[in-house]
This record gives sequence, C-alpha cells and structure tokens, in this order.
Amino acid sequence: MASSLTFHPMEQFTVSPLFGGHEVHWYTITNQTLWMAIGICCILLLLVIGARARALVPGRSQSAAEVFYSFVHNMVRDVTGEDALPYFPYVLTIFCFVFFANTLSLIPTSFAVTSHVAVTGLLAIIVFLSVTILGFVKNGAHFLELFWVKSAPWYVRPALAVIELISYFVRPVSHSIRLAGNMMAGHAVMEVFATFAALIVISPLVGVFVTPLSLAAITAMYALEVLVAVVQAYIFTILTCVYLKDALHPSH
Amino acid sequence: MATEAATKTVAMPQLDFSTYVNQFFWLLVTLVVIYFVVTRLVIPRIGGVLADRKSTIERDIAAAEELKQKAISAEAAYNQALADARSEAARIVEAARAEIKKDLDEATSRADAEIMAKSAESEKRIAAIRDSALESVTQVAHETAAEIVAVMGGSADAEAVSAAVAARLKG
Amino acid sequence: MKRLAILAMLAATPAMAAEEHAVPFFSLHNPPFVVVIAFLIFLGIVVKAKVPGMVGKALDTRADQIRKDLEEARLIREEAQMILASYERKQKEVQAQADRIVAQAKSEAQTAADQAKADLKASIARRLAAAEEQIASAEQAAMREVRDRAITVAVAAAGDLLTKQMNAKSANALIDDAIGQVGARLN
Repeated sequence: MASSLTFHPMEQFTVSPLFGGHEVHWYTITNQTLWMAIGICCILLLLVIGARARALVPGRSQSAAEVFYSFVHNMVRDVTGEDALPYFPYVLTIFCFVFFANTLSLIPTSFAVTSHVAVTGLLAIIVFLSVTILGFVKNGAHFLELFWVKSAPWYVRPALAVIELISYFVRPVSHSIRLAGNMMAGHAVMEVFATFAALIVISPLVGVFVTPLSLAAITAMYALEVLVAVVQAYIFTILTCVYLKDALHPSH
Repeated sequence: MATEAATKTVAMPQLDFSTYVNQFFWLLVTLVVIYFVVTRLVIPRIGGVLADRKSTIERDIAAAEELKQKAISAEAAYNQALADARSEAARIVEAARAEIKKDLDEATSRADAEIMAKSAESEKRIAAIRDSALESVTQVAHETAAEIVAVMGGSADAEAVSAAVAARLKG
Repeated sequence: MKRLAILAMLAATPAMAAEEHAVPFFSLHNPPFVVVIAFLIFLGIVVKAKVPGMVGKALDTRADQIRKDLEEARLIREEAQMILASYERKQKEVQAQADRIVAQAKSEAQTAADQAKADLKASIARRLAAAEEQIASAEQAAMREVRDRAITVAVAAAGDLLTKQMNAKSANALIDDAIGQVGARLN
C-alpha cells in the first residue's frame, strides 16, 4: 500500500517502444509513433472523409473541414499576402500536424507528441532553414536587408544589425520551446494535480477535501489546455507565416 | 526490471537524446505523409469545393451582368426601332403632304387655265356682241323708230328713218 | 459522485500492489486514471453546456449562409434573364408595332390627301361657277348695253323725224309725252 504520494509528472513523456523491448532504435515504432499515426488518421477523417461529399452547400462535417481549411488559408493570405499562397500546402501541413498533435494529447493516457523539443525543434529548424533558403532564392543578397533597419538612424544600424541577426537565429529556439514548453507544462501540472487525488486513500480526513479539489483542478486545467492546444497550434503556424513573409519581403 | 526501468527513466524524457533519431525519423515520415494527404486529397477536395462555390457565385453574377448589358442593348434596339418607325411615319406623312401639294398646285393651275380659257372665250363673245352691236343697233333702232313714229301718227318712210337713225348713231 | 464511490472502492481493493510500479490502472494512485476521470467530468460539462449543439448550429448557420449566397446569386441571374426576356419579347413585338405606326401614318396621309382633293374639287367648282356667272353677267350687260343704245338711238331718231314733220304743229309737249310713254313701254 502506497502510504505517501510519489510524483512522476514527467514519466508520461517517456518515449518507449510500442511492441516490447527497451531499445529505441531509429526505426522503432514507439508510443510517439502511434500517436503521430493517429494524428494522420484524424486528418484523414476530418479533412478527407469529412469533406468527401464535395457538396456546394456543405453538410456539417464538410463545413467543419472547410472552416478548418479556410482558417489556415486566410491566415496565410492575411499574414503573408497573396503571393505566399503557393506555400499554403506547407503551412497547412504544419498546422495539421501541430493542431492534431496538440489536441490529441488532451486525451488521457495519450502521448503528447508536441511536448518534445526534438519534435518541435526539428519542425522549427525545418521552417527556419526553408524560410532562410527561400529568402535567399527569392531575393538574393537583398535578403540581408532584413537585418539592415533602414528606418533607424545610420549610426545605430550596425548595432541593430547584430541584434536582428541574433534574434533571427534565436527564432527557431523560441519557436520550438514555446510550443513544447506549453504542452509539457500543462500535462505535467495535470499529472501533479492527479497525484494528489490519492490522498483520500492515504488519509481520508485530508483527502475528502483534497481529492475533489484535485479533480476539479484537473477539470479546469482541461478547459485551459484545450485553449492552449489550439492557441499554440495557431501561434506556431502564424509565426511560420510571419517568417515566410520576411523571406518574401525582407526589406523593412 | 524496476531498477532497469528506473535507470531508463530520465528526469526529463525530452532530454533523452538517445530517442532523438527515432523521433526525427518518425516526425519526418509523418510530415511527408501529411504533406501528401494535404496536397493530394485535402487541397483538391476542399479547395476545389470552395473554388467551385466561389466560381458559381461569380459566374452567376457575371452572367447577370452580361444579361443586363444585353437587356440594355435590347432596350436601345427597341427604342431605336420605335424611333425609326416614327421617323418613317413622319417621312411618309411628309411625302404624302408634298404629293397632295403637288396635286393641289396642279389642279389649281388647271382650274386657273380653265377659268382663263372660259373668260377669254367670254371676252371673245362679248367682243362679238359689241361687233354685232352696230348692225343690230341700227336694225333695232330702225324698227323701233319706225314704230314710234307710226304710233305718234307721223309718217315715216324707211329711208327717212334710216337716215335719222344713222345720223343719231354718228352723233 | 457515484463514480467517485466506485473509485474509492477500487482504490481500497486489497489487490492493490504496494509497489508503485505495479499500481493497477484503475486506482487513484495512478494519476493517468485520475486524469481520465477529470477528462470525463470535463466532457460531461461540455455536453451539459450544449457545446456540441452550438457547434452544430454554427456549422448549420454557415451552410445556410452559403445556401443563401448561392441562391441570391442565382436569383440575381434569373432576374436579369427575365428582364432580358421581356426586352426580347418587346423587341419581337416592335416590328409589328413599327409596322402599325407606319400603316397608320400611311392611312392618315391617304385620308388627308382624299380630303384635300375633295376640298380642292369643291373649291375649283366654286371658282368655275363664279367665273361662269361673272362671264354670263358680263355678256348680259353687254347685250343690255347694246339694246339700250338701240332704243336711245331709236327714240332720238324718231324724235328727230317727228320734230321735222310736226314743226308747224307745235305740239312738242304732246309729242314729248308720247315719246316718253313709248320709251317707258319699250323698256
């Protein structure tokens, strides 16, 4: 009988092989792999099967798919401009991945894919590299004007250039840590709250107050986490759009 | 097993770099799959429907605009046809009036000529009357004078009467 | 609450392992299970708040809006089509209308011409009649003039003759009276 509370809030993030064994090779199918696959299935369900009617006047599922699609489409158009619409498929891919990874992680006992900096970091690096390369391909050396703030007085421009350059390279770090941190924190806090629920078993006198409180707190956290999951997906994508805009129109 | 699991459990699994390659690999696989789903299925489907809807509305509006233009030109043609008919009618009336005037003038001039001819003829007749006047005057005067003289109880032979009449005619 | 009671029972089962690594799933000692409970409560609240219904209604509203937009565009087109059709019909009728206008103008012109001709004929006839009358009276005047002159001459000649014959008789006054009588009778 456990007589004390033991906290393992980070255990849920452990990447472990799905089909036995302990070694995680590069090809091993892990719990993370499973939940990424479930994410793909959800994308298929909402955006492909849901929209299969292709009706001019949509039903509910098709309408939902259209709202989802238009949300990203409008984001790309409004934030980045009409000339960025060729990159819409990439942005939609990123949003689909982050959105479904975030929301699926809300299901208890699931795996929070986007709480891993390995995932968000690689995503951010992919965005960073493609945007940087695109910036140079589209603008050539003019892309460097991104770091040369013409609106500032000439004598502060070199200093600003250094700051801009640093902030440019910090982008993928903040981009990825923001998402992973948010997702990880929420889940960890929920797990901590959940641990307190055992108090009713250990000490009924204290537990009679603490256990319901813990459940209520987790329930409230759920409301918050739904918001966080959606908003973080949105922020990750909109930042991608902002970076894309810098690549297409570097001059300040 | 418990100890093994414990050693495997890092304080923060996120920083367990031994899983990174695996995570990178499956993330890339997932992204590629999503990319293909998005470009092959989602965008053609939903984008197609949205574009269809937009183009349906735009086509309707454009068709309405075109029809409106056609209606305007049809109205113009209609008005033009009416105006043409009216001016044609006016032309016919004008032509008819000219025709009537011509007829009138012709008839008037013919009547004038007729009147002129008649008056000329009458002039001739009057002249003839006047020409024959001397003879008839002489004759009538002769007869009348003779009768008067006879009534008055005078005796007058024809010769004397003729002489008297001739004298008066000259006088 | 009922669920909680069951949980408590489950948690109290003696089968529960002391070893934390062997904690069964359905136990309050197992945080993921607690999270499952909280998740179900959350879902219950969401359903109780009629969020799915609201979402469904929002989607239906969107569909209605789309249907309305499509319908509106279609109506605009049909209206334009109707206007055009009415103009085309009018255009078809316009030939007849134009023909009618022209025909009416023609018949009016014809009537006016006939009227004018009739008037002209009458006026010419009047003029001719007047002229003939004038001529006739002129001829009559001429004839009367001739006769008057003959009578004047005759009276004068008779007078001359009688004067010559009745110089001695000095009955001039009587003769003159008689002559006047004769003149009056002859006239």
